Amino acid sequence: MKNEVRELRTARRLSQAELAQAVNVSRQTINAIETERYTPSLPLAFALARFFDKTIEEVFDADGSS
Amino acid sequence: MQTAAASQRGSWWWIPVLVGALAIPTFVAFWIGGRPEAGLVWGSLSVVFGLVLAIGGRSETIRLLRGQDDDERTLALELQATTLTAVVLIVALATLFLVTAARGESPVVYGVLLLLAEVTHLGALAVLNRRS
Repeated sequence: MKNEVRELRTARRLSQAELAQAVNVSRQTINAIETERYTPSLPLAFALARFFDKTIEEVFDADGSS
Repeated sequence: MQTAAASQRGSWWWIPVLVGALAIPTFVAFWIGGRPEAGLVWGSLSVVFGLVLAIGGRSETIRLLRGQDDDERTLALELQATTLTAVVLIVALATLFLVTAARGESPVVYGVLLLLAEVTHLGALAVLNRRS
């Protein structure tokens, strides 16, 4: 699923490991989300959106699923 | 609402130890059956696999096998891998069942295992369906 996770993370100068620790998943999972190889669960999508202080729609593009 | 949290299990070592220790009952079974040499060969496979699990921690796949770095993605991967394993095993059992029957031999062992797989699948679906 297309998403803005990489853009939002780099804008905050965070590493993948730091974001992973913040939302309690592995660094590999953040990488898989950013490269659109993994679609996160609803709870993880909410956690990421809350972390970036955005809505889910602002972080994830359901219409741009890959 | 919670995500499946990433966890660094501190006790991963028991998995390679358990896999390696399977060599003991394997050898004993072959020894009782009068073929200790074959038991050594099959048992050594368990030891080798256990060693790979113990020293292969730099590989992400080995870490998945050891149950390290668990989160929702690795759990999903584990579920898919388990499903694929089950499909391969069931196809192999069905093939062996048919080949054995065609050769005029008793396919009872394969038939019972296939039945066990079907009953387990059916039971699991029924229970999970009621719970969800």
